[in-house]
Amino acid sequence: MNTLSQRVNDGLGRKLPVPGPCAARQRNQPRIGSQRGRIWILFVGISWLGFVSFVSSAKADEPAEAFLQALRDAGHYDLAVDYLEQLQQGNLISDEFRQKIPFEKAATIIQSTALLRDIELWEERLNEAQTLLEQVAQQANTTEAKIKSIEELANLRFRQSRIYVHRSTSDRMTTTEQAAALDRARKLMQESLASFDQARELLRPELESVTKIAEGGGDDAESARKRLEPLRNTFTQIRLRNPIVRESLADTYPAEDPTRTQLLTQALKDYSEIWDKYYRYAAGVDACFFAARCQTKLGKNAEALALLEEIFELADSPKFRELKRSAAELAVQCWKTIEPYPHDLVIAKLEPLVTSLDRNEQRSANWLQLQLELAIAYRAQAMNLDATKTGSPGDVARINRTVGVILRSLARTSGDVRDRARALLSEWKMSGAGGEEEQGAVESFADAKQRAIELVAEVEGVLRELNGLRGASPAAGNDTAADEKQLTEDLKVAVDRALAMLRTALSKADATTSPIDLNHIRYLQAFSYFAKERYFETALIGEFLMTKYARVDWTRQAAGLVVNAYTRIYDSAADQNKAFEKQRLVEVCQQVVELWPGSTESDTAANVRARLALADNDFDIAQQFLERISTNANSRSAVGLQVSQRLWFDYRREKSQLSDEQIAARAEELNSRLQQVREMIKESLASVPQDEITYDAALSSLLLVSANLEANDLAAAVDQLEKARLAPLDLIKQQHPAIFESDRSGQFLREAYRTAIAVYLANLRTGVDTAIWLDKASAVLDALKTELAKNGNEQELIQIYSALAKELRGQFQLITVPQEKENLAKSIGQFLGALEKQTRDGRTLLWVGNTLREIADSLVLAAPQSNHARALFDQSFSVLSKAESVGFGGDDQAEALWVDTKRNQALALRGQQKFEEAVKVFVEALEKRPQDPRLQIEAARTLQLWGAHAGRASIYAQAISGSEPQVDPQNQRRKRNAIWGWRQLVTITQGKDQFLELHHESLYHLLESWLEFGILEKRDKAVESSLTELEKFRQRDATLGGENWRPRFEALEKRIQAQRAKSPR
Amino acid sequence: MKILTCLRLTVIRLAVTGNLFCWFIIYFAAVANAQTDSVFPFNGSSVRGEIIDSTVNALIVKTNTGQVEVSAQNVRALTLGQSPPQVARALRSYEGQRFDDGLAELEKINDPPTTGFIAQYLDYLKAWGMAESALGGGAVLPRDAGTAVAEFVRKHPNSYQFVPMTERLGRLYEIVGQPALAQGEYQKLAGSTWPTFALKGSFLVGKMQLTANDGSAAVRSFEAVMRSEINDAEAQSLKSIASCLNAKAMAMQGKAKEAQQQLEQMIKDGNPDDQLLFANIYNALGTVHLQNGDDKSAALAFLHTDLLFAGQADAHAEALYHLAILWPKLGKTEQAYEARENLKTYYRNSIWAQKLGQ
Repeated sequence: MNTLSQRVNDGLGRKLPVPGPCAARQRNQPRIGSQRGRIWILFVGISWLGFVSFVSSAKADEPAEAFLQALRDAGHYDLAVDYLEQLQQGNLISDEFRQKIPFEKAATIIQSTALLRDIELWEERLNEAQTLLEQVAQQANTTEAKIKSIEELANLRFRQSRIYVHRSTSDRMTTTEQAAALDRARKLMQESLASFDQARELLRPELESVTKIAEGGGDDAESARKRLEPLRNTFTQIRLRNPIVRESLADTYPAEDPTRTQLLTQALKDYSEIWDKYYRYAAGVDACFFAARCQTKLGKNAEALALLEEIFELADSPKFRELKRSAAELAVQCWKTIEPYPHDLVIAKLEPLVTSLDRNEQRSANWLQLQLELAIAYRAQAMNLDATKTGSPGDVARINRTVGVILRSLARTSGDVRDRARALLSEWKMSGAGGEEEQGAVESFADAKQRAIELVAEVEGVLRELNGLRGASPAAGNDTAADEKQLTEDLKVAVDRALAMLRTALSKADATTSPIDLNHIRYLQAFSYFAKERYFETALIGEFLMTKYARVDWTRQAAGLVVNAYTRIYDSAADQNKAFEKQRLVEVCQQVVELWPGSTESDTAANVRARLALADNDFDIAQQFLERISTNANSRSAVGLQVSQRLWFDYRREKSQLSDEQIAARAEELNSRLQQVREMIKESLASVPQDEITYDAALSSLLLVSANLEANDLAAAVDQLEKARLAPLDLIKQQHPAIFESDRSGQFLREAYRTAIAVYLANLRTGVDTAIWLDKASAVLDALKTELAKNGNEQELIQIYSALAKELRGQFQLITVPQEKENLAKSIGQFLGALEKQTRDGRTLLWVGNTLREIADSLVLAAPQSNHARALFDQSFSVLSKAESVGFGGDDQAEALWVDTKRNQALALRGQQKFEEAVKVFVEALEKRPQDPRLQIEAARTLQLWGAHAGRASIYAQAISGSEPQVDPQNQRRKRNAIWGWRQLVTITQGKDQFLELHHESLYHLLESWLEFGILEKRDKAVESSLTELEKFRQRDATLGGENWRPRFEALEKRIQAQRAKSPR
Repeated sequence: MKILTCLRLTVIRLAVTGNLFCWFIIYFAAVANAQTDSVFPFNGSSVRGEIIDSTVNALIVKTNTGQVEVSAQNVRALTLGQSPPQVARALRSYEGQRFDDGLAELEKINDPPTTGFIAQYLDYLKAWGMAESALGGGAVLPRDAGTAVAEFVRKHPNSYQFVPMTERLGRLYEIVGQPALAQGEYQKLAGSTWPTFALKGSFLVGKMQLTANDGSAAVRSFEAVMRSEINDAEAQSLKSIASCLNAKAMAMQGKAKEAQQQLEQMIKDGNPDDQLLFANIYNALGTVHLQNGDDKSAALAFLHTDLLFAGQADAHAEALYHLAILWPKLGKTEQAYEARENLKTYYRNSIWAQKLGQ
């Protein structure tokens, strides 16, 4: 005897929990439900599950078979066929599986026809499968193979028969042709029936044999028991197909034809037998439903309903949901024939199904008809209660309200049911506010409140749908616009109804009404106004509750609405009028956070407040409110990302404004801030859910790479760049939508590539794995170029190069170990050298030359005698010469670029201590730009350095007074120095705010040159002059040029004083 | 009094005095003695017997032990031995504020009695229903209701409901645009022997003076109310509202700032469960802002009444009236339309709806 603890098999060998016994079965015998598989769907197609289970029991090449099945399950039938053909040609599978390939191919083709709409193609495919199966049948050398091929041929014939049934209804065929097609269909069905019978008879002895062994208790018993269940499944499935085909055959005859009745009766008998014998199996449960269907076709609706009762009684499991839906649809047909309409029965059966629908199911076409039927049943019930006076007016009104809710929901869906729902709404006067279902008098506050809750729930539903629609793809087009318009109208009606009822509730409130109930009503009011986009009203109600009923239920929720309302008001206000809204928003957020810490509303308020603070660059407040957001709140990560980003940008901006000396003085504080920023970014990234990665998250990840680089933590920078969760390069590789669907994707890619290059080049300092880092840097540079070229933004490359150069300079300054500096300089030389070889672009070459020269300059500062520095200067000059020869033709800034090239050439020569040549190059540049102060300063500085290097007072004199006299183009008789010298520079820059820095620099070098000149020439007067000038400068500017210059001037003053002390007076 | 023996109605009146809306809870007295009436006082035991007469101040009940007078102000409820079923249904409708339905039920009574207490009582029910229908914007025209109530007080000067009906008559005069007549009724009320109603009379006189823009007279009336030594719940409520209206009157006298401060303090300190008071405070505040020419703040104040205290009919109607006028000035046409429609729908017979229609 079966027990409730038994489990059923769904035809795939899977065991499923058994539902409870159904009422009908309990009367006679123990009965357990069975898993409803998908078999019954195959009534219109063909069963596959039983076949698969049978095949599964055979030994096969598991990976290949599993992959094949996966392809078929995913509907990739073409790929599955291709895959089988590849397998046949390869050596990767067992011989056993190879033998099955033609069969698998045929089965795949048969399955694929389920998706075809083209009847000709359908037939063509089935013929192809038939050929294959006939081959298989001929070659079958085992009972198992024979059964499989027979069964599949039976399936095939059934499918073929469907083609002819379809043709028999085609308008394009003559009556004779239609009749012939129908005859052919019937013949194929008869053949199919015969084949299924044959397969079943072949399988029966096998099943009996295995059963006997399993029950025998011998050595083979255990393995036999394992085989038994799948085998029984296969057997029941094959058995079930016989009446399925017979029922289809019956359907080919007219209703009045005795053959039809005879066939249906026979099918019914078979289904009933299967149901009785195999009710534990999926096939048995399906047979029950099919039997009910046959009963309805035979006009025996009462008998059909008795069978359907068995289906309704199945356990409430998702596995049975589809079957129950089908049963309900069939039952609806039966109920409609019963007089009087059994509304209570209909409600009893449909209510559990409809009320458990999720949102998607509610909108699904499959369930719409049943929802409509339930509404009709409710309406009949309400009318009956009213007519017979067996229900109170309140009951009737309540049921009518439910009808209205269902119908209005259906009226908003697309599909056939919509028109019917709208017609019923109109017929039953439920279309607008004050519909019939609301006409029942409101008895009391409680009654009004209950109705208001229902009406607000409807508002919420419509609002949700509307928001869903507004968030849908714009590609949806006109239908969406029409639906949106309809929903907007529905929303207005629903809100007005809700507000009217809420007003009634307020008018019914008296001294006995509890503050909680009253608060609830006011919260619902606030919500309804919010839905109506009347945010001011929402805010007013909510604020009143916050002020007067802060600790009463529903105020917290109302406060959440206030925050949202003020946010909307603030967002939509004109910029010049935002002050009031902002002030209110700030205050409300503060209140909510303080009153209900840890609540969702508090999280929202803290989020809003933090964002406002961020917009004001008030990071302290932003951080303060970020910390008030619950750690598990979704909004925390978003705000955290923004706060940490802003902190990083703030740090960078502030640092960029500091001089080297200031940076050194504030090193500890800056490091501490940097560490804090890194931690914050890390923390905010950690809280980003994997399925909610946003552009902000990707950007933060990239910024963390930069912050790690800034902190000189190269390993962390590389890890974050490449491997960490949300690693930028990994996201790019994934083509992650957070980046690629953003309108800032290009910006992100460029910044990510630039950062990556900087990270890889920075790693060169270690001198380890240099080739790897260089390769990586080159690869990323290529990707960057491709990205820029793709978008026609090649010119941006230079900007990126400039940023990269700045980054490298920064990196260089960070290095304190001389050897590391040498390593980095050498490797960058290699990297840039490779880049130089690849390019024929003047700008790029200029950048390469400039960068090489700057790195060499930095190297000289650390190690003045560095050979690497000399080599880099040399390399730089060579590249710059190439840039000059390539030229900048066509570039708007060609002359400026040429001058910059010459300047860099001169500086590179100076770096090599080729001062004379450097001066000549400066003169060439100054011919084009004689007034360029930066160029003049570099030229004067070069003369000064030359003087120092050569120890020649005369060159110092040139540095002071100018050099390289040239004919004045404006007065041919006069000559003017091409290089002005420090004195002229001081004069020209004095008193001009825009040249203040240049003035300090010129003055400093003038005084320094005077001192050196005085020392070399032993002229005390020159030394005195330098001191006098310094004193004058102090009188003009007591700060001696401010923080940047004072230490240098003071050091110079000490040197002058020391020199004076040495000199006899 | 034979006819009284036919009545099978049990009526419990919950609030006999003062309130314009006298709420009834109906009990079908399944075991009621067909010959017996009962009077249930607020204080003391019920009195059973036959109601044989009434005065402005008392119901006179003939009991087994003799004649007993029950103070009219102390009558919490009364039951009449027998009644046509229509009366019970009418009272049930009244209870649900469906006065028109109740009146229709009363119309169904065939051969209504024309003498005795039951006749007076039926006249009262009809006049009361008509007054409430008219005051609540129902089907009865205010003028017809006024005629009915005036007829009732003329015909039954000794009714134990005379005082409350006088107040109703005053209100009906108000809405038909007869402020002088209304004030006359309120003055009668002020002189009545029912202390709380007398206080209410003074209060309503003050309101009329306020409507007539006579700020100084209104201040005097309200101050008198506030000084009263009557301190039952209703009197206290009247005093609170009088202080709001007093602030309004002060604003009329040019003391708007002081009035505003006073009202804001009341909002801060007051208990919002007292909805009538809060509705009046916000309306008064709105009026003060109007005096100051601050339309936006005025609208905000009236909006509080509209959104939060819509259950207070008189105050709500007043707020809607002001909002209907203020919203267009603030560019809120949709809101203006709604305020106007709500006023017309819910308070079509109110003085505010009529003012707006002028």
